[in-house]
Amino acid sequence: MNLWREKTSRLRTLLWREFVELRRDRFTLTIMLLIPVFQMALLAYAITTDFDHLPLCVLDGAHTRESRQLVSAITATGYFTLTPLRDLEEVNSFFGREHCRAALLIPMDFSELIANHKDVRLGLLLDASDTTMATSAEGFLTAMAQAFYRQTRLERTPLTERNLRPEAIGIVTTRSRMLFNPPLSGTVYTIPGLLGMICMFLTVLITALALVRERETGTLEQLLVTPVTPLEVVLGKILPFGVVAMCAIVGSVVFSWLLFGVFPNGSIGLFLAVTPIFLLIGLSLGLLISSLAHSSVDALERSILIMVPQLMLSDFLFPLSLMSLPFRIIGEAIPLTHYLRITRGVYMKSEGLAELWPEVAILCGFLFLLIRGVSRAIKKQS
Amino acid sequence: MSDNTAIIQVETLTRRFGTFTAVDQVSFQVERGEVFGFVGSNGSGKSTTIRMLCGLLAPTEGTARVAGLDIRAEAAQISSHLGYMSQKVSLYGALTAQENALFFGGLYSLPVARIAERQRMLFPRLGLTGREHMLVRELPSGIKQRLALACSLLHDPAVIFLDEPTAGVDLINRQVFWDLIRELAAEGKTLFVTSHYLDEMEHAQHIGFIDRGKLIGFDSPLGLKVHFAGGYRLRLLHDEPQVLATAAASLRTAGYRVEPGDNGEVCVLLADGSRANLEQLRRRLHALNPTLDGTAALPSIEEVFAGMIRQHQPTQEHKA
Ligand SMILES: Nc1ncnc2c1ncn2[C@@H]1O[C@H](COP(=O)(O)OP(=O)(O)O)[C@@H](O)[C@H]1O
Ligand SMILES: [Mg+2]
Repeated sequence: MNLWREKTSRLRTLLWREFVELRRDRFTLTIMLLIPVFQMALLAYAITTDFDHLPLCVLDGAHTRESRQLVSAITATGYFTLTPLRDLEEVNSFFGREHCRAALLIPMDFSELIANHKDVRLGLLLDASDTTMATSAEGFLTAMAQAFYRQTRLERTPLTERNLRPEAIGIVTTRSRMLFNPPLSGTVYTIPGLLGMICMFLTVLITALALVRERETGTLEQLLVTPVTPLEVVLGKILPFGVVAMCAIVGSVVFSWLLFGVFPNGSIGLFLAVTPIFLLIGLSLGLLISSLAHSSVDALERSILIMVPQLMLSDFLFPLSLMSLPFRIIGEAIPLTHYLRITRGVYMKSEGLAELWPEVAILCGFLFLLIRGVSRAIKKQS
Repeated sequence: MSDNTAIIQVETLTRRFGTFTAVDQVSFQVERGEVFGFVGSNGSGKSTTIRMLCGLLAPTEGTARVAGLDIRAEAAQISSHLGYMSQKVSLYGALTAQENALFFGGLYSLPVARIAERQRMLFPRLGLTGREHMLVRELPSGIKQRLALACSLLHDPAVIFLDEPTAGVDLINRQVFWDLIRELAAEGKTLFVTSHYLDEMEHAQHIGFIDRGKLIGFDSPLGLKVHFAGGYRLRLLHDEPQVLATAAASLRTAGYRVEPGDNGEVCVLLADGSRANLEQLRRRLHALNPTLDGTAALPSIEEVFAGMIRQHQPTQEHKA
């Protein structure tokens, strides 16, 4: 009982100091709160304009009123330059060239299926040599099709099995099916990913410098001669920055909602509950880097070195499902991968805890291991 | 813990960094209520020893007991018994002096009222009154150093480690530090102080000399002077060199150790500096020549240290 009171009073003291320092250091606070919004605006803009006037070929097999409506709706957005095609042979010869980076295939029974309230399958071929373009265009066209007919099921048709040249199609050979709810713009695919990336950058960089600085000024040593435990030092660092980072993320969510109209379809409660866990993971990772670094510069270099592969292998830039097994395994070992599944699930698929609990459990496991790891690292270096 | 055991017991304490031995088989004891001076040139292993005794660094070999607790097995309990002021002033620059005190006091779970009481006691003694609400990064370095000392004393520790507390401090402020150190010792606290100002060490009850990780001397200041520098020196002065020369010869035959001094004078070394012994020498000198004049003095710690380093140099090189 007494011990518990002492522990909490030490932790309170550590937290109090961190908040006093944050209050005095307006610059850091402002940067922390503004950078996410800034990053979001910049990157969302850069990525959504990625496929301005994308050359899109359309093979309209139906030639009905509905199919023409869909095509003109896509044309009306101004994001695509359309080339109508007559048959599959033309798709074969055109696709993958400059004037055909994506192809939309409308089935012959398009109108009948709609009339009978059946699932409609559209074919979509994407030149995945530019994955950013491909995923954005996919999200956008899916959104368009669903806005057109909410129950439409979109399939990335396995056209390689037909007589298309595989090299022309790039790596789009998957049979995976994705079910989306009706989103309204292409940004819906990038925003949840961006949120994950922002969480990562913000947190790792903040704490990557924190312990090195305390070691350089000698205050870490002074802390460790007091009864404070390494775990308390870790919590005393990550909790205050976690609060600030959470404010920044909530700001970004509101910002992306106001600016791009993108808001979670699924459980916003789950998103708000899981994000702090992921922020604490990032902050602990930063601390771990910090505890191993020899200097501030070293800490910065190490955090870049840690973060770049995470962006590559976490499904953020390149679809993990298209990678070879070893990379997929590495990808699963990255917390960002699991967080992205949650944010995308919540934003795009109306998912909640029922579907996403395994990802949540994995994130909790990561957090536990990281906090233990940092506490040990602090004890050992001392 | 019984009263007659030493409050700091160091047994063959060793610390290696890779293949380099920073502290090599060091053993000594410090009694309760003492000021212990730990002296050595830069890089000789003083800070490393202190950091091991404070539980900041694990010994490679050997162990030590501080306040009756083993530094390896009971490191967690030791922290509340000891105060530590590191060589580097370790305070939070963005906090005021008072906030630093509240912070460090809070880490020892002291109630705010108790911290305020200790602050009222320590701040005036260290000349910190009036600076409570200044940001630490705006304070001059001498004041920061005194604040660091105050912060390490808030929880009223029984053993206090001060690693070069007076480095870069001017003469008057060094006096402030040493007055407080002596007062604390008088209250029964044990102080473990390193310094490279050797004259300060005259205040210590015991002095340990460390050279390249090895403890090369451990004694009271007087003991060190007697054992390592031949004890008292009586400098003989006379206008006539001839008179000095005959006096030196006759003292030598009488069994005294006689050495030429730095300025042509003659030095007589007296291992036993008792009053009776000095009187006997004075009478003998008077009998030789009534105009011979002599002043007796002990060598400074500095002279002792220089002498010891000289003695240890050749043996170290033989080993290498
Ligand atoms: N963490 C460390 N890693 C490697 N060498 C160290 C470390 N700490 C101290 N040393 C080395 O140990 C020796 C003794 O250092 P130190 O105890 O700080 O000396 P002093 O305090 O007497 O000046 C020095 O040569 C120093 O370079
Ligand atoms: Mg030192």
